[in-house]
Amino acid sequence: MDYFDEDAQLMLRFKDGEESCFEQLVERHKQRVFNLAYRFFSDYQQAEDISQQVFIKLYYAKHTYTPKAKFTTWLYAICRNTCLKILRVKTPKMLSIDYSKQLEEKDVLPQIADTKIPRPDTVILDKERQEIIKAALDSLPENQKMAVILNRYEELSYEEIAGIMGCSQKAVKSLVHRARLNLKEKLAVFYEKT
Amino acid sequence: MNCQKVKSLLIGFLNGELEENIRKRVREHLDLCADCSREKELLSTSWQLMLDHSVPRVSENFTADLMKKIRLGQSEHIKVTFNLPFFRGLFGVRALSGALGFVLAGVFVFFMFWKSPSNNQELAQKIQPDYQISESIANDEEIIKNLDILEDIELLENLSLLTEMQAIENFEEETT
Repeated sequence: MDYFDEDAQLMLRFKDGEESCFEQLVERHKQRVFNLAYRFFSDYQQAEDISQQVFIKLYYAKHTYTPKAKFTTWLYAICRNTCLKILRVKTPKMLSIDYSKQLEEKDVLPQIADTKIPRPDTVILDKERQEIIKAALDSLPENQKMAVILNRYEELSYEEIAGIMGCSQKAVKSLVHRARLNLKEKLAVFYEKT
Repeated sequence: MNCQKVKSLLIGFLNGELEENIRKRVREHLDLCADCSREKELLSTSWQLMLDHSVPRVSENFTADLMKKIRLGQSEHIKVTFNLPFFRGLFGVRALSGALGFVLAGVFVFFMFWKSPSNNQELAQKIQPDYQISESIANDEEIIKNLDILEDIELLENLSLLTEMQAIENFEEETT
């Protein structure tokens, strides 16, 4: 079965030499890829570097693309493999030379310019909740973590996740099931506090 | 249906994946069991809480940076592989040029060895004066030696005369 959705069309046109189609694909999916990488590593710069690597891989793998599955399945599979590869290499935390510039843009300026500052206690609670969720997600084994990210955040079906992770639907269901039990245990800390 | 069985079916129950009769039995159990009901609540709220994991927006210059990296990568790729197809195409010519190189090197080595005797002669010619000097020194030494021998012979031949002269001198000294 061939998939000829808009992404597949763009990819096929890019494969035929239309460079602008690649840029369109990047624009359409950059946030999606970044979300996955960010949730997997909980690090902005690393997530952005990984997202760029994913699209670079996609760029050079254009000749291997065939519309046998959804374009996003292919893209997620590249993203998953890149994340796992980087996780296994266990390189020290990547820090871009533009990092200080981003700190200025993302952190310092909004604090000065934003007049709608939320109440400090709300900020602390939100931040604490974010940290607890991040910690709970990070505590999961890599396969469970990936299955949760794809299922919970990217809202993919077990079938799609199985295609991305290269395993059976039953295995994916089992991964998500065990991850939910683990997350319930980890997040119990949050319920005890609130 | 006991608590253990119900707890194992809770995620399926929450996802709506159970068959209707099993779903009904689980619901009946949950209505009666506070522990299983709490377990169901925790599973549900923790899964809901996961959605609060917010993600920042990707940077605005993401695509521009990416394209820059790709273009840079392409230019490096071109630099690295620039001559490869050309040389691959000219593999036969390269092989021929290699063979020609070997032949030239062989010829060069041959001429080097072929010229070596004359070189040795030239060298000998250059060294010759030294041989001549040493030869002349040897000849001189022989002459000196011969002169010494001749002198000794002469002395021996005139020994009687010398002794007579010595005797005359002694006599004159005694008389004076």
